Amino acid sequence: MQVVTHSHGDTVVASVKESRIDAASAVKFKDAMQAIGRGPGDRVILDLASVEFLDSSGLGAVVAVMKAYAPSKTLELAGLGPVVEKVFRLTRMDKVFRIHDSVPSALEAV
Amino acid sequence: MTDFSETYVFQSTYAEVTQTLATLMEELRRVGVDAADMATVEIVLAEALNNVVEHAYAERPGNCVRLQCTLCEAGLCVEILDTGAAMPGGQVPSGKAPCVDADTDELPEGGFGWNMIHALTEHLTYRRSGTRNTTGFVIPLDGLR
Repeated sequence: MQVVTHSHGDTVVASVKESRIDAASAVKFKDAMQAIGRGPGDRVILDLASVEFLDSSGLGAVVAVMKAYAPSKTLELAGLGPVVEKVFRLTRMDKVFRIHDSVPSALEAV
Repeated sequence: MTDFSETYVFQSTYAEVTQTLATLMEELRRVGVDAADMATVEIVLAEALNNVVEHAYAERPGNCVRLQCTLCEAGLCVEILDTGAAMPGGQVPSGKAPCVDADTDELPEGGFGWNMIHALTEHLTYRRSGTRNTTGFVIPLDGLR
């Protein structure tokens, strides 16, 4: 599960370089994000632009990461593709997370 | 849209679910199903098939899952057959949506799957006969209307 990070001041952008976060890969995703959570930065933007598919296991993993990061780090989302956006919307989790169209717009937002 | 009816038989692992769905998606693309409908199909089938792996077979490998998909007037007609444990209470879970209006530390990390299946399917049925579970539903496809 490849997740590439870039720091911008106190903000860390974590870009998932896999096309699926699903039942087969959810645990590896969580492990990768826990490792990033032990690093610097108090605001993490999860860049999902490369993720074409996410199921309920993937969703649960993203929620688990947000919970594990709190309270010292926040987790926001960026670059949701159509399938990922649909899953977040169906489960009303799009109301729980701060979601940005893209990483640049996330970095511009306060 | 051309006729489409396929049966897939595969082992009870998450990896084989993913592989089978990739094959199905490619075949649906070839018969003209649009991207939005394909997204709906993949979301529903990933949940239903992963449930078979996780709950019917308790993640034990070496068991069989049979998936049958047919394009019909109403949409994609699906039948899933397995020989795992019966659904609790002999019926499909109601799929009550987990509550998301909670504090961060109380947010649900699971229980989303059946709610999504109910939201995206019609004519959801479940039958237990001997050692077999048969789960059926129709996924309405907007592109067919």
